[in-house]
Amino acid sequence: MRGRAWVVALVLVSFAPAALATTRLTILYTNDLHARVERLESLAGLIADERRAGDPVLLLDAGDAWQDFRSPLPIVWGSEETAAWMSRVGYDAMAVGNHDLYLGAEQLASLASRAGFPLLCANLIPWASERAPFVPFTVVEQGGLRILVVGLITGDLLPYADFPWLRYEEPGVALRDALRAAEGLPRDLVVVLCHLPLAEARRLAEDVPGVDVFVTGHSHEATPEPLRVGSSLIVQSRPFGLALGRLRIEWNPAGSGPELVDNTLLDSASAAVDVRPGLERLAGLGLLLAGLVTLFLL
Amino acid sequence: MVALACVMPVVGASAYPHLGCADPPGPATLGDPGRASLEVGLGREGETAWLTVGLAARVDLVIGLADRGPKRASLRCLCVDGLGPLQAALLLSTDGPGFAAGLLLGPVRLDWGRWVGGSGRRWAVTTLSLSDDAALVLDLDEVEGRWSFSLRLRWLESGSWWASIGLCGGSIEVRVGAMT
Repeated sequence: MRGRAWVVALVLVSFAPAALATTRLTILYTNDLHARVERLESLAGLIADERRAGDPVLLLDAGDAWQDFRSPLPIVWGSEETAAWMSRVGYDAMAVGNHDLYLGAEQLASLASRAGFPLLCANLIPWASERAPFVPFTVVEQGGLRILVVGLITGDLLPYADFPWLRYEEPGVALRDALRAAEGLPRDLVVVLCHLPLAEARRLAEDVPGVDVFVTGHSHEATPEPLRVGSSLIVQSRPFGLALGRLRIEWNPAGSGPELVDNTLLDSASAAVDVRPGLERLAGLGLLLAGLVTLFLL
Repeated sequence: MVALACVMPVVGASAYPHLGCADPPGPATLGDPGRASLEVGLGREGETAWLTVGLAARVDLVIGLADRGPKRASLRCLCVDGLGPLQAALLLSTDGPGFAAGLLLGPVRLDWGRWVGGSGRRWAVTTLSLSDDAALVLDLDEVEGRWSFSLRLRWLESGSWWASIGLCGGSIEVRVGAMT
């Protein structure tokens, strides 16, 4: 009897290091916020709740956070407010979306310099003589995990004429290049923040092994259940800040990749926001535009 | 009158180069001190050349030479920038004052403007980005009541030089440019 107890104890001790090394990580994600400032307060509350829950949190955005043409106000207002909010609530990284480029290079650079997190894009490559306001990838440490985060952007609807100093690269090629360039960096997880539809992320997951999580955007789809391709998970939250995505995973160095705990889209609420500064800018734009068109036509 | 695509450099503190259009180019192409661009064209109206030099962050100098058209030197001063997608510049040239405006609407860019003095010329240009190295450019131009238009396909190679071919007034026009 005593001998059997020793065997059990030995077995438990031999498995203990792996069990102890298991780390739980909460990845909170947004995409396509499109400067909907009325949702930010509620999203901040949801983020704070998750941080209070105690697990390490990685907070990411998959692009198109700062501009929109679908509604009048985000055309002229909301980008600085949204960027400041993202910095305040502690975003770790953001992918550049096509709408973020519609602000123009200078405005994008200005927002990037004030954001407290890196802007990521691996497949828009600047001339050798130019410095882009974004980088291909970054490494974030959370809960003892080193997470390589790579950014990708769609080739659709890009304002190339205003960015002649950028060359577009296919996402698959750029992702492979980025993973190769980051080979020397210690990392436990790879997350790709891609401003790409789910179907394209699925193709990427099939073509490029070694990515644990794809956080996607651009197509305004949502994944209450994450898609799985091999060991890769693909997620996307609702657009316009309607929800905060929460993906919880467990990672064990002895395992073959992160284990999915759950994925939930946490609904946000709309709050009253003082939009007078935005309305003033909108009125200014309207008047100036009318004047410039009139001068042209007369 | 041939409306010209010019290229050049932009604006603001970080001064990222932009590719503008129209004659003179829209304010999105305003100057980066030290940056310069040159574009030469060959068409029915003869040879043309446009040189742009960035003088200050919001000011550049545009010199236009045409063997059968006007020769003009103008200063462009960016007045409105960052008001949503709109930019506007004041033009001061040897012909008199004018303005140029530009709206960036994603893959479509609209530029328009006019000279108040001299020829009184006005122009409107639509640029549709097709890819990172190709754009379709529709250019409307009016001088003394005569309207003309050109449709061009522009290739951009490695960002630093470009070429375009297009139809202008029933004849083919070729342009080549480079930027420092």
